[in-house]
Amino acid sequence: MVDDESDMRVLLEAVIETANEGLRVVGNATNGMEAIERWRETGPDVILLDQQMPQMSGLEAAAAILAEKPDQRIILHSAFLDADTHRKASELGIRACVPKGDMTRIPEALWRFGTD
Amino acid sequence: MEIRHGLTPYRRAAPALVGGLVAIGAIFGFFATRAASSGPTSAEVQAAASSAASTLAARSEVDSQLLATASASINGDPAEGDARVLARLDRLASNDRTVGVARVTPSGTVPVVVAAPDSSAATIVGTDLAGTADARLVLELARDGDQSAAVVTTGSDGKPVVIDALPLYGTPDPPSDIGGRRSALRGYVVTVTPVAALVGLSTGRDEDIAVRVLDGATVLVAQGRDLSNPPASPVAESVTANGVPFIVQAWATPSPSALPWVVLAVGLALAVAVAVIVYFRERSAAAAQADLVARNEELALIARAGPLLQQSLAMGELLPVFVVEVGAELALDGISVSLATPSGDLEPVFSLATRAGTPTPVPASLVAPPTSVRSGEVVTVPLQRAGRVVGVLQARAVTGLTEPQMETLLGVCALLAAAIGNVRMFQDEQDMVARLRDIDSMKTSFIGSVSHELRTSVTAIQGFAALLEANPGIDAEHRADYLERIARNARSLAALIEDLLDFARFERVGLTVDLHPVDLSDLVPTIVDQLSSVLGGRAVSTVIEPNVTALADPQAIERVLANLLSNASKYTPPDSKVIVGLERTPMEAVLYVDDDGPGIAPDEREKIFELFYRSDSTARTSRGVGIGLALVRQLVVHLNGTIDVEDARGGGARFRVTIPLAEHEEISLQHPEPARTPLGTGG
Repeated sequence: MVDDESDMRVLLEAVIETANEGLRVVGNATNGMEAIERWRETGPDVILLDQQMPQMSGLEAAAAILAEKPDQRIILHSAFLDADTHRKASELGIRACVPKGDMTRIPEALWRFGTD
Repeated sequence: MEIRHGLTPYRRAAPALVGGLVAIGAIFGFFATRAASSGPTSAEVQAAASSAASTLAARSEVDSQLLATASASINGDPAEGDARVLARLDRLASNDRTVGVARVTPSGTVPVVVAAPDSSAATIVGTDLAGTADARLVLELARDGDQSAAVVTTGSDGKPVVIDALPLYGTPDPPSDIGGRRSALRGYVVTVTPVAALVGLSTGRDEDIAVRVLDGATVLVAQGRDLSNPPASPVAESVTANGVPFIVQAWATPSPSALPWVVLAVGLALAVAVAVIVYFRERSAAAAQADLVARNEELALIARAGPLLQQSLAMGELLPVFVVEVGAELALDGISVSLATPSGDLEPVFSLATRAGTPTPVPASLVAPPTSVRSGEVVTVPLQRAGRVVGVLQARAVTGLTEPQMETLLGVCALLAAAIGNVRMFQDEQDMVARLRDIDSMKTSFIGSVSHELRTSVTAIQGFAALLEANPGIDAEHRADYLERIARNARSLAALIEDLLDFARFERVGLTVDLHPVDLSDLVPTIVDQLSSVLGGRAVSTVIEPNVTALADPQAIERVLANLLSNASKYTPPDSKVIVGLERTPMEAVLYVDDDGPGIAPDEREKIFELFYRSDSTARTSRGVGIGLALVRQLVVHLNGTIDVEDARGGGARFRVTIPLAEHEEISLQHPEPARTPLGTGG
């Protein structure tokens, strides 16, 4: 789980673990660079990736990860989801884009797009 | 342009042509007048001789009749009293003749003229008619023959005179024999006539003919010029008058006339005068024409300069073309153009090197340009637009500038000034467009920032609230953490709203501050205490120098500190330390906020105070909308202070605010009441 905002990380982790649907947060990061390192260490089933982050954006991090492992499941999570972001995400091979807002939809999205 | 100072070949030849024509006329006149004054013809000479001879003959005939008449009037007797004789003779005398009577004196045979009718002839009274042997002989022949006789003698005026004498015997009828005549002779009646009168030479004959009368070889009378050199064979006429044979000679003596020479001299003088007049007329005409040509070229330059200056709106393209064109046309060297800077200084922007290689210096002061310029002088023309000097053109006039050329230079400089104005206006417009574009982009970015800020906080508040609501059995530690996060995001929203309200308020009415002495040493720690919550758990410490009283507004100080602390919290890690310090310098209170974050790059230290400005890195790493620091700067300006950012001692950023101390109140109070100042102009 990647987000530069501590509140969001805490909130998402709480929502996911509270939902207790077999989901577990194996690691989190505050920016794109950290996300790649953490991904290599933990090898998660799915990455919940914030788009707007310092140093390296979510799309940039996704591009790097997907170049290395094209079938890695990634869900882009952003406050701003415009058509351009959708298009770029789709081109990269990101499974889904979920708007920030209703946190309760996150576990469902993780099940839906994070598993085969 | 060489025509300017010279004459065309035609104009150069014109004086010689006209002068030559007049000179040829003078030479013609010379020969014509000389031919016209060649003197009388031979026929005229012959006529003059004949006229003189016939006059001589005719007058001698008249003489004879006169003598007879005179003799008859006194009955052939001269013995009567003088008065009676004179009365009778008076009626007979004419202007050119003297009639007189000579009596034989008792002593002998000498007849002496005793009476003459008018005083002019008085000198002949007493003349001895028989003064010479010739005369005696003539008189004796006349006595014996009872006939008139003539003798030529010298008159009292030294000129030859002819004396005609008719014997008087005392009776109307003379004795018939010689002896009787000799004994009866009482005297003579005489006429005395100047020879000149006799031949009529005094009647105004042509002066170009010389006439002379000879008695044998003796010249009796002569008239005309050059009498001393008679020709070898003059025209001659023989004539006998009163029995005396005369020869009349005539020849032509043409006068050596000066007229042809006068004509020639006057003609040549006229030729020279005409040549000189024509030369000066042509020269003045050529000069006028050259002036006209030059004026036309100058007008053409003005006409060319307009389009030339319209070709570009870039100073660097305009000036070289313009300067080269004007320099070539007006023979200017080392032209330089300086433009007025906003501070009023003149800054050279373009110069064409002089031939000497030294640039013309920028003038220290401006004076009105002269009406004309001497050769080699430097001319300075202010470039004016709308009454303001926008620049100066300087150049050395290689051949000087006449008044019309100077007018031309002023004309093209006026065009240049207008073009410079256009260029500047265009640049200003470009700058304005760029600024507006920047502002537009900043506003877009601002809206993005505000949305992100709102969305993040609202999402967190909603999320944690929903979590708490859905999980009433959550443990106390997590519950407290979530509530704290809800509260912090709510504060963040409140701060954002405060910023937006500040901005809106400021945009609407401007900032107002109420300046009075404020004990910052007391105020600053209090504010820091109240605001420590915005630091999100970051440790804050204060370093306060006591008794620092500045001329300030406590509310403004609070807004400044709140924004600087909020700024520190946004751009530093959660475990950072923040230091708030207060110091004094001789004139100012210095308030600073240090953090140990990444610091501010030098090229952003000015920009961060601009409204809506967010550097690429901060826009992506942190929350914020770009209002806080712009507001801080405006507040500080209204406190008559300054704000800048530098490296903090610990490596982060130090925001340093200075405010005048209250001791210097009188200086501070002179600051004008802050007017409404848009935040956006703060950059």
